[in-house]
Amino acid sequence: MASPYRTGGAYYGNYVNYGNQQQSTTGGYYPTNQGQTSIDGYQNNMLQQNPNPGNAFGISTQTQPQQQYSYIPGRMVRDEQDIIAKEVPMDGSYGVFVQQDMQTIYAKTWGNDGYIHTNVYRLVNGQQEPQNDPIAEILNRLQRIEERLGETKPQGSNDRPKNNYRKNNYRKNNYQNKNQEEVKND
Amino acid sequence: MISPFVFAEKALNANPKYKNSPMGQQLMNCIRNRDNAAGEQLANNILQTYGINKDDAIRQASEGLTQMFHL
Repeated sequence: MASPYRTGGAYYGNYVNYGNQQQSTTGGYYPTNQGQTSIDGYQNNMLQQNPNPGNAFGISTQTQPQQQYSYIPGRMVRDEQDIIAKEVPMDGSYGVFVQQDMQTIYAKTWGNDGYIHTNVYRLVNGQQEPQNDPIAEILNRLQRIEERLGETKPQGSNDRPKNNYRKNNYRKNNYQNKNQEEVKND
Repeated sequence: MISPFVFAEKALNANPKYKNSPMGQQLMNCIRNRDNAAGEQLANNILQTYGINKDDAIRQASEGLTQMFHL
């Protein structure tokens, strides 16, 4: 049976060449034939890690050292539907998939519920709709109010409008009260 | 005959790469607590994500195990 990783290597291009050979062939997330849904990748992976068939699935108590990626698993994709489950690492790390138009990046990882969780990153200064800046909106509104006030202000008047209504009213009332007191005293 | 729980736990322990992942830890919890329902649910979710139905998965797994153990 032909190893599915051979086609996977060609598919990934340069990504496979990073890291050592063992890393490049581990994990069920390297694609098999695109249309095929199979768990063979996982089984082959187990065979490669445990070449002794009697010891399949790693029944021995020996533990393998934790593998560190020297590359980021992922590839260029046309859209999100182009990503298959097998390409997402099952070790808790993220697979990073860049859309061909460089507008969107999908970071995918397996959650503890058995589903793939996706973080989507979009290009900010690309074809983004202008956002409403609340401060700019307030400043614009203030400017409009200032312009409107400028229009209503009569020509040649001082900048500070005189509003002596209260003061005059107070004086008038005081004057009246004083007069009433004088009348009472008389 | 070895218990399936012990088999699964040993298999997971032998692969720390998978064991330390969130899904591996959830699976380990299911195994240690002998929680069949949670384990089955997790397996069903994984199969759903892969787009494989349960019968096909069982058939492929049994074929793979047969091949590995030369049965």
